Amino acid sequence: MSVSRLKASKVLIGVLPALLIFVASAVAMYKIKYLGYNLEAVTQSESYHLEMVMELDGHSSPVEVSIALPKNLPNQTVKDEAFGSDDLKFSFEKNRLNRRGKWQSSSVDGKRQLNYTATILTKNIKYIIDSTILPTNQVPKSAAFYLLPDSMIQSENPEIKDLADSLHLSSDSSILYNSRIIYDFATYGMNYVRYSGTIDALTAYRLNEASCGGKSRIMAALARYLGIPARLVGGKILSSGQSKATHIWVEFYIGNYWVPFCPTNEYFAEIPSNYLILYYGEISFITHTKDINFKYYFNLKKRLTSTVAGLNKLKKNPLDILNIWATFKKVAISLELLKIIIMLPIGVLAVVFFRNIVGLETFGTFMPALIAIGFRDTGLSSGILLFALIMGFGSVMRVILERLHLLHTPRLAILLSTVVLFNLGLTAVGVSLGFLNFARVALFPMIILTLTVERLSIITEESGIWNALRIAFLTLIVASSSYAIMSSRFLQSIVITFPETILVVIAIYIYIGRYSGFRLIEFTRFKHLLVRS
Amino acid sequence: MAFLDIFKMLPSRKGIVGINKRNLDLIYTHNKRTYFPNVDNKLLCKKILQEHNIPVPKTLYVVDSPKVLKGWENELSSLDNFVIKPNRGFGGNGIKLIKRVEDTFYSSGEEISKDDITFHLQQIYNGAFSIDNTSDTAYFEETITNHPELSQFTLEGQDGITDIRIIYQDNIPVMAMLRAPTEESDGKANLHQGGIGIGIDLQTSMTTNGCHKNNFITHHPDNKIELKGHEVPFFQDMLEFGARISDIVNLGYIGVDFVCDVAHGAMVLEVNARPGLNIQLANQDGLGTKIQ
Repeated sequence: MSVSRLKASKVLIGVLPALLIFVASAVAMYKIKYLGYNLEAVTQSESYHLEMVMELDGHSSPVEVSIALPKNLPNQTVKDEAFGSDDLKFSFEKNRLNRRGKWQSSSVDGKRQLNYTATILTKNIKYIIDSTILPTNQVPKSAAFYLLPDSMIQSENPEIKDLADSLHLSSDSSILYNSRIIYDFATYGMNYVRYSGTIDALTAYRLNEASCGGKSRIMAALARYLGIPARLVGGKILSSGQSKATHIWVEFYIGNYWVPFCPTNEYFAEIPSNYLILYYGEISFITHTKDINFKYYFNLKKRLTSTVAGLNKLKKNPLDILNIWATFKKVAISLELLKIIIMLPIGVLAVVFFRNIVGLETFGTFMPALIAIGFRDTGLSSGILLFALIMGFGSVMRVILERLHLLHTPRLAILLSTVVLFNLGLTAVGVSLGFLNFARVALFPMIILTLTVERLSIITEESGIWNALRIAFLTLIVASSSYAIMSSRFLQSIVITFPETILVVIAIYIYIGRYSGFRLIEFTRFKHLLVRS
Repeated sequence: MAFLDIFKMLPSRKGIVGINKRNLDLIYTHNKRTYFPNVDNKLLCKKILQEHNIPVPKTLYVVDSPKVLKGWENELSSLDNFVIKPNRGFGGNGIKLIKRVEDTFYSSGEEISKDDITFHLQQIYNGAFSIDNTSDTAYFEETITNHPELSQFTLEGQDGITDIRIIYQDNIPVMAMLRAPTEESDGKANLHQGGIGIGIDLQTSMTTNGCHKNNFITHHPDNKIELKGHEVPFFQDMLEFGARISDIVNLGYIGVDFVCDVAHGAMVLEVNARPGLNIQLANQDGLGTKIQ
């Protein structure tokens, strides 16, 4: 390269990143100022894919299963409901407060799987309690029922009365004041113990310990004693993964509103955004015929949903990128798929960083980023486990194939075929054992895995198993970092809303691309040269 | 640029070149992509060098079509020693040294059948060892017999060959080292496989201390001979041949690998357009102090 061209390219390299960052900021500013874009609108729209899986085994006998189903409420929206009922008949049961799904059949023989799926959007609501409302205020008929004592909430029991007195509860003071005392007692005055069964208010008080149900019932008992209507709420705490546990909290009727309190997780007059209400009152979340070996669990996945609601408010404009994304639906590119594509340039930031600045060796240049995409479907821990399993299986297969003395490409094709079969086998096992994340291994990028197995085997042959394992480990580190970047919902929101971020990332790549200093591991490699006097 | 400059300060003061600097300031600026095939294609490289009267090991037989896969059996029937190489290989992969004792072939001390050799040729032909996994040519080359001065660096009964790597920038020799195999490297002189590197003083042709992996050494790890103070035979020939190669292959920054055959003297084994950086450890000095 001639000196003048070298100089010209140096100037260009100095100017280009600045230019890219300028253009990106200008576009972003325009969108914020004139199109009303804001990050808040995007980051709020988190949702969960809820799946409720039920398994049973009938013996030519009648079967009936009923579960409480979520419904639309101020804090929650339920969409895209679907029911899987095998050969059982499904029907809804509704009353004023609750909605249930019922599966029944006059005779079931053998195993059945039932399920309910829905998309859930929830939000946090905080209530401000009017401090002038007293417990003596008039209660409407609809709420009066929730003043009565029952077998679980013994509000008329003398011990509860004594407790109310010792806490200095008073119907002359505001509901706000009394609620705070009741809440503090249940939250901080009682020990939390995880019970599997149901415990009533009085027992909880006598033991001075309770789980979520007991704490909520003692709050309800004290409230009812004072004349504040109170009811239990049953629900699910939303978090990704599989679980069985449901949760109970309590609501007080205060000035025409049912105000939520959770003494277990410390929410006063507030329902957090990860609470899903399933039912009200002292009822069972799930009921089923006995002796059918009944099992159930929830499977929840967090998602970021389209901001279509916000979209409609935006003006039509070529820079209105959210509208453009919406048109992608016509060619079946969903927002979920778009996210994978658009996060790739950001995800490889980890690859570039670890290769050129840290100096880690990995299998293939972009292989770690592609493996990270596979992790999206399985989650990180299942993903790493599956990666290890597939590498182990592939290595064994390759040793066997080596003995057959086949040509390179057909041998790779056989390796690919066996990896595909192995993954589908893992999926079948995962589904039957109920490890759904694990089962999604069928969506792993098989060709990438096959090539990784091939690289692993070649490195094992050339420089030993330890070196191969070391590089496999480093590949996983880079893949996990790449995964962390690509699955960050915050970054996803930014990049989807402001795709010009990619220009900024390109500017970073230019900067790193001109970095001529040591890779960090070279400080070890050349340590003797560095300390030489 | 401030943040990453922290990692640049110490190495650049000591003149040590890292991979990033080698790629950016040496390879990309001195070597044009168009001319890489001149050295990556070893048969082509040998042909060009021969045309310019630079000695290279003799090519015995070339497999460039499936029809001639088995031809070596007749063609080489009178030879007992030869090397099989992939034409566009990298990092020493796919190279096999073959020795015949009576009618049995041996490779790395193990018996190998004629069919195994033909299969290996087929593997090379199918691209299993080529730099881009595309179809490749396999060739047979005469075996080098180490000059006695150099064979003291190899172990008794080992097939391995000692070679000399000289780095040139624009026809000027910058740094040189002698590479010798060890027990650990299984006869290969490649440093990343456990071979040792011994610095060579360009002025005096004498060896200095060396390196094994990332450590400085003064004695051979296997036979314990002192590394320092051996004169490299035909070193002036090598310096002279090498200084013409940059212009011949059109690449400004190259590493030339020489061997020193007992019968033919200095010969060029191959030319490398992306020479490694361990030569700095072998010479206990940074490349940055030698190059402009």
